[in-house]
Amino acid sequence: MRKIIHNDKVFTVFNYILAALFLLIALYPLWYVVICSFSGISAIVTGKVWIVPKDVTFDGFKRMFEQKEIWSGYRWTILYTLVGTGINLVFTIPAGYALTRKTLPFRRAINMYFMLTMFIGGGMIPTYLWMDRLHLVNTFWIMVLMGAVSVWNMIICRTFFESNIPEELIDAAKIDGGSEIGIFARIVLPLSKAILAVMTLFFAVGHWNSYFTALIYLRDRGRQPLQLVLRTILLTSQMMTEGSGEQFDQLIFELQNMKYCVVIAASLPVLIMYPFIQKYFVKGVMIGAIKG
Amino acid sequence: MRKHAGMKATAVLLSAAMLVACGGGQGSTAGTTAAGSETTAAGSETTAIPDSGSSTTAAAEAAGFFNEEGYPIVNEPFTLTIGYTADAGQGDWSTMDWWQRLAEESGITIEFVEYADGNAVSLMYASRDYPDIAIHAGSDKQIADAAEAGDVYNLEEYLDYAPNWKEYLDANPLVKASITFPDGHIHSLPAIQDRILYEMRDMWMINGKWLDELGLEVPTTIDEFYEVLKAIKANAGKGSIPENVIPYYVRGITNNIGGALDLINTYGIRVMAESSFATIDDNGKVEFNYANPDIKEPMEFIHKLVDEGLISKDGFTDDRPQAQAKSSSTKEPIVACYSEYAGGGNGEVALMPLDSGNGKTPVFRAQTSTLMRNRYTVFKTCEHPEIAMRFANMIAEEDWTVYNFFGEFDTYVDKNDDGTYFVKDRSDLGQLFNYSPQNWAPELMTRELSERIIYAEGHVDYGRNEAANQYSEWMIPKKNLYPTFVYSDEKRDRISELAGDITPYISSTLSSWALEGGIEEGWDAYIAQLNSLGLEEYLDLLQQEYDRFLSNAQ
Repeated sequence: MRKIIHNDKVFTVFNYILAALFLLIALYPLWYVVICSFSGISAIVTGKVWIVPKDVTFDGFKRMFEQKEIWSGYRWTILYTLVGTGINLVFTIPAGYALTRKTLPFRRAINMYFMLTMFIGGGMIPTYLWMDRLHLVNTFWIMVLMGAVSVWNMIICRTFFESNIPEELIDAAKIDGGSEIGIFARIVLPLSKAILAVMTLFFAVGHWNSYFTALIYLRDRGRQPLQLVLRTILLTSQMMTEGSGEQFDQLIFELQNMKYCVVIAASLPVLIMYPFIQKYFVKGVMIGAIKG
Repeated sequence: MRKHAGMKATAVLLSAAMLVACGGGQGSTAGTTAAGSETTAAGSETTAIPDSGSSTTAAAEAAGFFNEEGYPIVNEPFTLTIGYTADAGQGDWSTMDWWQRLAEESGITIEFVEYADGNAVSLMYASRDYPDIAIHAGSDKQIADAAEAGDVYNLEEYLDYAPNWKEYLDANPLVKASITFPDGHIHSLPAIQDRILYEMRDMWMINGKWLDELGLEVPTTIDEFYEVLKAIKANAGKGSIPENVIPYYVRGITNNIGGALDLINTYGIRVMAESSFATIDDNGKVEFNYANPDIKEPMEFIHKLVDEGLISKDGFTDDRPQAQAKSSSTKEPIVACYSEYAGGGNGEVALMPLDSGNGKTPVFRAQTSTLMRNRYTVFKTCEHPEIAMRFANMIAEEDWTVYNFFGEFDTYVDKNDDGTYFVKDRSDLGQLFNYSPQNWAPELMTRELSERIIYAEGHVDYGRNEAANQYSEWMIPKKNLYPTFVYSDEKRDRISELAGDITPYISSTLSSWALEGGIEEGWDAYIAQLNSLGLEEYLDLLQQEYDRFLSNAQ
C-alpha cells in the first residue's frame, strides 16, 4: 500500500513539473513581448533581453502614443467592434433559432444553403468586384457588414436552442397567445444568456483582431483599425529597402522596441475582457455541444 | 478564423439586402469614394474604358478650362484621384504639406486612395477600378497588362504638356529606354534622384579615432588594412577601444546592405548585389563575376579574417537592425570598420578602396537607384491627361523637387539668387516622411540640379556627398551596371525564376566559404551547380533583354 501511495506522489509531482513546463512554454512568448516593450533597443536587437527587461525605458510607449494613427486606430476598432458585433448578433442568433423551428418552410434546404457557404466561397476577386458594385468599398459599412452571419456560430446557436429550449415550452407560449417573434424575444432570449455572452465574445474578438477586410477594402488611412496599424508597424520593422537612407534606417531601428508596445496596446482590452465573460464560456459552448 | 471563410458568400447575400441601409451611410463616411464610384461605372460592363480624353480636350481648351502654361493649371474645380502605396513608415499622403501646397497652387483638388499593400493594388488592377493616377502602385506586369487592355495612356504623346520631362528624356536616351515598356510606349514616369551620393549605396568606414589612438594611418593597401585590424584586436580594452571590439563587421557576403562587397570590389572585381547580380563588361556583354575565379583571392582573405577573429561570425546571421545596433546606431562603438549608409558620429572616416596588390585597379560599389520606375501612371479614367501631365511637370520643377526631398523653403532650405539651394542641418530627418512623399513621387533631381545643392555641414548628406565625390573615381560606371528597365513579358517570369535559384545559392555558398574555407576544393562543384541551375540561360536572357534595352535608346 505504502509503495503505491509513494508512486502516486511521484506521479503527481511529475505531472506538476510537466504542466509547469508547458505553462512556461505558453507564457514565455507573452512574457518576452512584455519585457521587450520596456527594454532598450540595442539590448533587444543584440539578444540581451532574455528573462528580465534590460536598459529599462518607456521610450517605446512614448513614441507609440505620439503616433496619431494609433489613437485613430483605437477609435475605429472600438466602433467597428461595437457596431459589427451588434449586427452579427442581430443576424446570427435569430437565424440559428429560426432553423430549429420545425414550422419553418424549406428548413432543410435553407440549412443546406447555409452549410454550403462554409465549403464554397466566391474567392477574393469576385467578392471584391461584388462589393465594389454595391459601393461598399472604402465605406464604414464594409467593415461591419462583411461576414454579418457566421455560419459556424449560427450552428452553435442552433444546437444550443435545440438542446436547451424544449419544444413544449414554445407550444405552451403559443397556447398563451405568443407570436413567433414575441416568443423569441420574451421567452427564448432570456433563457439563452449564456450563448449570447459567448457569441458576443466570439464576434467581438473576431472584429477586434480582424485586419484583412480593412486591408483589402479600405483606401483611407484615417479609418484603419488598430490591427492594420499594428500590422504596418510590424512589417515596416522587418523591412529592408535598398533605395532609402538615414531617415528610414533610424525609423526601423526605433520600431524594434515600439512594435512590442503596440502588441501590448492592441491585445490588452481583449485580455481584460476575457475573464469577465469566461464564466459563461463552458456553459454556452459545451452545453450545446455535448447534449446535442 | 474559420468563421470568416465560411461566411463570405452569405455576406454577399446579406449586404445586398442591406444596401438600403448603406446608401444613407455612405455619404457621411466615404470621403474618397465619391470620385472612385463614378469612375467604376466605366469599367462595369464595357470591355475597354472609352478614351474620353481626346474627345473632350478641344472643348475644354476652348472653354479655358485649363491653362497650357503657368499656374494655376485649372481655372475651374477639377479633381485628380491619386492611388498610391506609401513607403514603409510614411505618413498619410492626404495630410502632407507638400501635396496640399501643390493642390493650392495648381488649383487641382487631389483625392487620395491608399492601397494598404500589394493585395489591394492587385484588386485595383483586377477590378479595373482605377484611380486617375497611380503613384507607386503597380508592378511592370500589372501596368503592362492594363496598357494592353487599353486602360493606360501613352505618356509620350502628352510630353508637350510636360516640357521638364520632355527635355530631360530627350537629353537622356538611356533613361527613356529604361521607362519604355516592351510595347514601345511610356506608361509611367520615373522618380529621378541623380545625385552622385545616390550612385553610391553605402560608405565604407573605419573608426578614425581609434586609428589616432593607436598612431596608425587610414589604410590604403590590403596589407595595411590587415595590420590595422590586427592592431585594433590586439589593443582591445585599451583607450576607448572596448574589450569586445569587432575589428571588421560584415553582414554576410552578398547583402547589398552591409555585405562584404566592398572588400571584393577592392580587388578590382565588379560584383553587384542588386537584383540580377550581373554586371556589364566594357564591350557591352553581360558578365557574371560571381562565377569568375578571380573572386577566390578576396574570399580567401575574408576567410583568413574570420579565422583570426577579425570578422565577427555573428554578422553572417544578423538582420538589419542587429547590424545597426552594432555599428551605426550605437553611442559606444564596438565595430571598427563597417559599411553603412552613414556613420553613427563616432569618429568614422571614409575608407577608400584598397590596393590589393594584384595589379588591378580597385572599384567601388555603385547602384542604379538614381532612377526609380513606375512613379506616375495615368489611366484612361482621367478625362484630361493633359492636366495630369501638366501636374507631373509641376512636380518636376526644381523648386518642388527640392521641397519634396529636403523640406520646406526658408525653414529647411534657402534658395539663393544664383540658382543654388542651401540645405540646412536638421535633426528631425525622420519627420520628412510625414511632410512629403520623398522618392515615391515623380521628382526630377537631375545631376545638373544636384550640383547646385549645398549641404550644411552636419547634414547627413553633407558627409555622404563628400565621400561620394571621393569615391567617384573608383565607382563602377553606369555603363557597367545592369540597368533597371521593363523586361518583356515572355522573359520576365523566367528571369526571376532563374534568379530565385541562382542568387540564394551564391549567397549561401560564399558565406560558408567565408566561415569554413574550402573555396579552392569546392570551386568546380560550385560552377557545375551554377550551370545546372541554369546560369547560361540566365545570362543569355539578360543579354537579350539588355540588347533590346540598348536598341530602345537609339
